[in-house]
Amino acid sequence: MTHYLEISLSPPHPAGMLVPRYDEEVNVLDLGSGIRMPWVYGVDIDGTIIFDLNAERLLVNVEVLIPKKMWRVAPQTTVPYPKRSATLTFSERTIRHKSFSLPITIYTNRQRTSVLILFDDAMNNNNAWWVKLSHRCFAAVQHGRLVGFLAWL
Amino acid sequence: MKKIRWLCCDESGIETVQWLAWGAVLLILIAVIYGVFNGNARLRAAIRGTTAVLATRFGSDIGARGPNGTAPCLDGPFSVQRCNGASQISFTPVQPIVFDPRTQSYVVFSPIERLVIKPAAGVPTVADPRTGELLLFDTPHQRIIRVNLIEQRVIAIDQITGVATPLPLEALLQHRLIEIQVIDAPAIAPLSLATLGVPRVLPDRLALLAAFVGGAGLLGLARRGVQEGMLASGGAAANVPPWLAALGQVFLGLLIGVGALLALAALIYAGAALLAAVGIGAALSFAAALAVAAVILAVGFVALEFSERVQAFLARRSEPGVGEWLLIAGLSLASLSSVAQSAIARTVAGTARPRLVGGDEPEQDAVAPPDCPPVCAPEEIDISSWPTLAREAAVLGCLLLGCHVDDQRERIVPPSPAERLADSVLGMGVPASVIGKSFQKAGITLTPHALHKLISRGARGVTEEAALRAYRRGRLFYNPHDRSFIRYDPRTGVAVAIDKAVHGKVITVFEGNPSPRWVPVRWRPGQ
Repeated sequence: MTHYLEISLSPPHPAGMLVPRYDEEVNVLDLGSGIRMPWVYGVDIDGTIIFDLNAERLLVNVEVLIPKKMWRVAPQTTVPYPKRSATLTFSERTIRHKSFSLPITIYTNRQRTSVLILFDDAMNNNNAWWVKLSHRCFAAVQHGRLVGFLAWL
Repeated sequence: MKKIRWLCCDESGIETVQWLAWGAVLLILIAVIYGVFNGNARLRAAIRGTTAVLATRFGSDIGARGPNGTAPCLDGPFSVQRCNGASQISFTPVQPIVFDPRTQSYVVFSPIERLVIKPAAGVPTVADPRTGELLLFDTPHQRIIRVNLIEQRVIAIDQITGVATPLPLEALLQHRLIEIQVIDAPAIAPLSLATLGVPRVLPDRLALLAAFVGGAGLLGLARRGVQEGMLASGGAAANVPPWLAALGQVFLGLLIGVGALLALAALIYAGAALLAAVGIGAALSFAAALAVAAVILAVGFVALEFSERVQAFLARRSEPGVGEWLLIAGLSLASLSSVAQSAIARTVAGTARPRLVGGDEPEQDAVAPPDCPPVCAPEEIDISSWPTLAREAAVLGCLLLGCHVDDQRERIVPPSPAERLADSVLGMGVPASVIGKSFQKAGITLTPHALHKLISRGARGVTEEAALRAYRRGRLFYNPHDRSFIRYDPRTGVAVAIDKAVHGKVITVFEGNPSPRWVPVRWRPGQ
């Protein structure tokens, strides 16, 4: 039984180039590529962060239901220097597990233009690396686990 | 007392002191030279480094630049230029980092050069002499920066989040957290007191001056009693005892002999270094020419420039440099350098859309996919020559047909068999306007966001019927994460997130298992 989001890195794919968009009407943050395709698989963390995957298990959309007003303001914005560009592919085991219960923390800057989403035990690890998903979205990956995202609205 | 008077006042005694002084100087010289060449690794490294520098400079007359003058990642040996998102520190220290208390800086030695790293004032710094790692405590930005030159990593650890991010070195320089000075090993070994292994109590120049003044004073003291116009050697021959004169001759012979030997050794060493430099340099030049020729043949466009920089050689030695060369060619293999070669080959060859890396490919072809409809092109279509209007039309067309427009490769990519299978399951032909009618009829507000999710997640059972059922009959939970309410239907596993417990509008729909963090809301009459 897994307690983390097991992923692998695939070559960059247009469907995996996630771009953030905040819907003010429903107060939901979406990270999506905008390419219309069926989201065949789904994984969620406490029903609060929902990951949508296509038929090839590539991550094509992330829905974050925590409204902007609940994001914690951090004094310093993290500046990522990604090791590489990639698309995230979820493992079959993660898809089978489907629903996870992990601590979630979201940080933003004072202008609320950047958002740092952390889950898993990212608070205690020092070995997470940034992977560039698009020019406005990065994923934090640690030893084959997905532990967070960083995006600019 | 008589002996002392003989030493200080008698001419023969003074000559004896003088000879003893010369002998002592000679002994010190021999000890120093022995120590330098046998026990001092730093000086040996400096001399070896000098040879290496000569060799690399001899063979570094060819550089490379990208098509638009873009500098490829060829800078080294200690580059502050970002390469593929991370600093390239082509630097192999020969010994762990040491702290220089005089300059309050940290020094790392390599065969070619030495780095002097000076942290900014007020930045607490800790060095680990075993690993050579520097820890900079960047308090204003609430982060710890680990500079590991041996593992070629600069990492910033956010103290709030704990997330480590690789940093380019120029970021540290721009923020003035550290100053870095690269010092080439000089052609002539630095014969400072520190280099010779003498503990550094005084600054080098002061110590040298003190040694010179002390020696001169000793010799001057020895000569003070010699009569004007009398040669010391003459006095020695006339007055000193025979055994002392013989000893002096031995010392003099040693002085001349050792000096001659040293001069000969220096000549041989310089000759060997020159030969090595010429040989290595010629080999490097040849290798460089071959490498550049190979890139030109493979790519067709790499502008060459000739310079006297060392960087080309050093980049050529490292894999990232080669990767960047390929990146210039547009193959983008550098960014995929850690991806399995088979995956790269498949991607580059364009035989299929990028697939999963590793051995856990999904069994997506277990069910035979439906045939490609006539309007669906089975092969990729090159749209590089298409006008902009046609490309935009292609994007719209693909939205309907399920193909993808790959802007980077300028190709229309057909849907994969798995996508076609999913399309057939999903029934993508259903107009979006049809979905959501049931909610509308029931007087439930379905936001556009939720409607989009309902359409996209239909393939995994999140249908309008199931969502409506969850809204009406689902168990009510409160999600403290986002302070929303959730209606969950255990029969279908579909959940509906709503903004209010009663008559709320639908925020989103999804499927899954109820979270242990959700708080069940008790039923109250009237709800």
